[in-house]
Amino acid sequence: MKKLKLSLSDALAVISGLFIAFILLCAIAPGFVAPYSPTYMNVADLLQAPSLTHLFGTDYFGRDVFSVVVYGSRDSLIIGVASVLTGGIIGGILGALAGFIGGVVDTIFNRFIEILMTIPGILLALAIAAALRPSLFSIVLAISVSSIPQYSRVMRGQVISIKNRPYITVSNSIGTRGAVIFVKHVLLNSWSPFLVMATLGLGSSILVASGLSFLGLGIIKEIPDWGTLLSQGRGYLVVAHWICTFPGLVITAFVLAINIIGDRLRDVIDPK
Amino acid sequence: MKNNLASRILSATLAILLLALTVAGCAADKPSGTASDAGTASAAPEATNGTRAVPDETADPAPIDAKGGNLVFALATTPDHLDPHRAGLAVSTRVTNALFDSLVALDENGGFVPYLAKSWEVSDDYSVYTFKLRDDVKFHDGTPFNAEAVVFNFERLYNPETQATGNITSLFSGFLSGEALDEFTVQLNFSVGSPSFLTNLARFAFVSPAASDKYGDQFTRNPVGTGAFRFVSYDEDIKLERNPDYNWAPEIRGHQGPAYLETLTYKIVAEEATRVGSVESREVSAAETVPPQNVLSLRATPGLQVLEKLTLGLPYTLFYNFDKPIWNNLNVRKAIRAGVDIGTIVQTLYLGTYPRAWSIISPGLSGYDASLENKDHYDPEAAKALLEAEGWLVGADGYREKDGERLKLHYFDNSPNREKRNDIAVMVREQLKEIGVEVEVEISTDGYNQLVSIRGFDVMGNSFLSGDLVSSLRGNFYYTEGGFSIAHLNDPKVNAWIDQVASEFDPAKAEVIYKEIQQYFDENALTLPIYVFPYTVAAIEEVTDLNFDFLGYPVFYDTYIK
Amino acid sequence: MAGVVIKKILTSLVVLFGALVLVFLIMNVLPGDPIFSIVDPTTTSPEEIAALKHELGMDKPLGQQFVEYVIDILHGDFGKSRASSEPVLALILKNLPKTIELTVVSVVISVTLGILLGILSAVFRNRVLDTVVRVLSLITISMPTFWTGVLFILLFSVKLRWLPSMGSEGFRTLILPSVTLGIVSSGVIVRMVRNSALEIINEPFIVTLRAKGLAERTVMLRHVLRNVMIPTITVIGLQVTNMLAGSVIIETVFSRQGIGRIISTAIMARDIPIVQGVVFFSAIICVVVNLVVDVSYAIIDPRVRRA
Repeated sequence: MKKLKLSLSDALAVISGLFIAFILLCAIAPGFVAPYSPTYMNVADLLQAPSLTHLFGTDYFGRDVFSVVVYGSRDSLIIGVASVLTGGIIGGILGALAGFIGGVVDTIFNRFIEILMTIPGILLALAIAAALRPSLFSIVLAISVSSIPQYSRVMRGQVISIKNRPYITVSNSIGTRGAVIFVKHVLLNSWSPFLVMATLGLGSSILVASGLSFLGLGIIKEIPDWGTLLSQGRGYLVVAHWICTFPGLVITAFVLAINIIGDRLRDVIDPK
Repeated sequence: MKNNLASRILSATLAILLLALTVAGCAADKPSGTASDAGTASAAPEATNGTRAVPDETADPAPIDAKGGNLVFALATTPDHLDPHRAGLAVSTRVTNALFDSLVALDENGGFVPYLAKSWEVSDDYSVYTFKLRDDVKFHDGTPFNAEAVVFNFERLYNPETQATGNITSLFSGFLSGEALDEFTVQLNFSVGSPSFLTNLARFAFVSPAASDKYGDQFTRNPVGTGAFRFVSYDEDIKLERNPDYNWAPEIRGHQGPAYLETLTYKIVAEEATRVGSVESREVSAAETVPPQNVLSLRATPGLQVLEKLTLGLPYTLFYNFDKPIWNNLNVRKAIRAGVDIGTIVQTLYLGTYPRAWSIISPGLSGYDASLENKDHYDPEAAKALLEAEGWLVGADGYREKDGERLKLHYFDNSPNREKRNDIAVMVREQLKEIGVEVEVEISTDGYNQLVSIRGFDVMGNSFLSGDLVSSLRGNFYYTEGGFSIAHLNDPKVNAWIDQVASEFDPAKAEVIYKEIQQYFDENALTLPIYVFPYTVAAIEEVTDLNFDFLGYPVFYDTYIK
Repeated sequence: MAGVVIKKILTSLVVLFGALVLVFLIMNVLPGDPIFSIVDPTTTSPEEIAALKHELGMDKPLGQQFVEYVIDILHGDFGKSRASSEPVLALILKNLPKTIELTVVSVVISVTLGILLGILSAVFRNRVLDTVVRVLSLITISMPTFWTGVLFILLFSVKLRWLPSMGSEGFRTLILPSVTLGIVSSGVIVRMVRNSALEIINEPFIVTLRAKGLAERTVMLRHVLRNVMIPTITVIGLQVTNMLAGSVIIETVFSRQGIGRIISTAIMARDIPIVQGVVFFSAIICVVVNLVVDVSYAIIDPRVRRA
């Protein structure tokens, strides 16, 4: 009985892993996967339904939707990974420092995070993205700044719980320098739940980016990212649903795969 | 044992579910109750509208010729103001036109028709206008419309506290003073005569002086005019009701007396899919600005109709920034024009629902030069040759360079993607890539970014809705003398022509000058006209006699629900 | 206990003030001139802009502007919208109930779905049903919210014509938006409920209690449910404090009245008085909800009370 379940969720994890690997391949070598150029506008073939020649159909410019999605994976992944890295590193360092130093620093930090938490991330992102010129950079900046509180909270919690473990107290009492303890023991021990969170954050960054482009703050580039594609295609849902459906499915499938992997990671790291 | 526990947990879950549903019921009732308390004015009229609507449409065995009904109209954007002197957006005018009247009206050819003014006289130099007003007109608050009210409105327009929009104040530049000669005769004096003053006057709405004094800057949330509909509330929706005393419609309308519709409600539905869907599901009676791809399918849907009217003024045009040296080269301008396949762009994006623009002014205005039609300049080979001749040679990456500098254009456009203008940018970028020109598209929502970008742009699109050519040309586009031109076009010839036409009172002579201007723009490839915007309304088939005025604004006065 | 609550309230005031400072800084320090919420830079001359700035007091030093703003708030004056002249307080009082309505109903939906599916999942742990529920709950949190909303409109309003797609008057208009918002957060609750239910079912004290002859109903209601309530309350708290975030997109998709819609428009138009007012009010709600959540922990779980 138990074995069957294990293999079922393992199978899900394996499928997710394969899908993520495929998307990675698309991002790295889109020309290898896509049958057409993502910018080629065949105006004779507007709004064609999915077929063998056009797997995901064609859009309102006559572009091959499949090829656009394949090429669009690069920017989508960049948005996801860069936001998690920036937000995670800044948030992680802040949280770790607050937790490790403690005292007044920690109190001030806590207050500041509480203040930040009263302003929902999407509004913060909206304000930043609206004020800066729309670009990949400003979208990444907007998303990462708005995710700092959550990362720093988790990191701080971890650091505090590890700081109070006996072996840290011991190395403290035998005179090891603070910085050494911090890096050697505390940081190295607290990265695992943080990793889980960052994995899940990758998915949610892509979702936030698509929300921003829905609100009109997307970027118009040669090759649109998935969120932009989805939000621009939504006006054609009735007439040519595939322009919107496939980018939507790809976003959902990718974020789902990330979440399944994140879940597995959590199970492995923290088997409760 | 384990099974037993499982079923216990299940039944407990069901219990929670029931509990939660009960809570849901209460919670659902409660907030809507408090909302209607808080909503003050909106709650009561809404309830009565609801009960009135039913007999009207179904049960009531009213005589067949009884016209009436309640119209719900979905707007695509939010009106900025309901104070007609402050409103700068076309969408606001779609509401204020129902609430307010003007001195003169325009017939379908742009001719003048008496409205609140019975008659008028114009001095020989067009600087003094004398109007005889109707003596039976009352504002919605019961105060009379008279010569004093006309003078008050002009003074209000130029009082800084009103915060009037430049779009309206610029219509009457040169206004000196207004005088009430007697109760129903008013004289307006201008420093310089203008032939377009009467046309502009057809756009100028009169507000109640008493209400303006009473509400101050809150007048915009409490508009009081003389129109066929009066204001009820603006909470979520803008609600208007029939003005039962209305008896001063201009002759060009289909009937006299009060409007047929009992209520007129505007809903703001920004999301395209929702707006179109709401007509299909009959949640609203009509919705404006239907996207091209839906126009075709809605036309084919039984029970629905699509109404449209081409708008007037300057069609959607791509402007160049003449501060940049590159645009002062005729061959480069011609090359860019030859590189952009406007016909394909318009056909691809608008699927045949928007007509292509051939000139800098829209068809339907007197002075439009129809000889420019079907003069397509698209010829990529010629474009390449022109650029080669100017020394722009293809570099290693496929883009053209000259003296180590790349031929790169900064194309600025606004967000959101209104009328698929962002998509035009994308297509232009791809087409110009074919002739070796790089286009960098920037889309922005923010005023600051607009300002910065406008200073640095190479290509930018815009359009202007107006029935008056002089103010269109004099506006922010082509005229540089004492004004501000988006295009930074500083062409003495163009300026001189515009000056000339601005003081030309003979329509036939003005027409000649207009045609000269249009030919000049075409010969010199000064701009790229793209499309003429048709204002589209999708409606359920019961909506009858929803008309449009000369400028393309909907007129709800004759409308009724069958 | 009272002492703790008073301390909490004091901290909350600090947080509130901090939120005001932060919003003020963000809106004024980010590049871009707030004056463009009023004038169109393409049609207004620099002289006119300068005059208007002076008239609105926008040329004063930022510090002075902030102090004046705080004093005004203490007098109950939240200013007027720069774009429409509408008093901000009236605007918020008109829109806030609609957003609260949306939040309350979507919380009810997500909690109901979440508890039901979470317990089902725990009871049928490791069976096919469990896996299906877990994957479904993951899918709901993996879909872009606006896409879910638009698909619902197409299906339930346009195709089936069961429910209105827009507006905020009456209960029927509330169904689609709150279901959209509700199922997204139910995914999170399912997972938390499943975990805590699993934990408690296997606890030795449940077995002991039953062995002592305690009625099954008492065991279920007093212990299992209580244990499930704690994560649930946490999520409710989170969801209420995030209601502004959720409503930003939902209210736009469904053309509903509400503070999410006005603040997103105001941010993009740089209508600072509205942004500040809305954030202030949502911060108050945030702080109050957190207070309530803390107190309910103490009531439900005696361990917290003691600590």
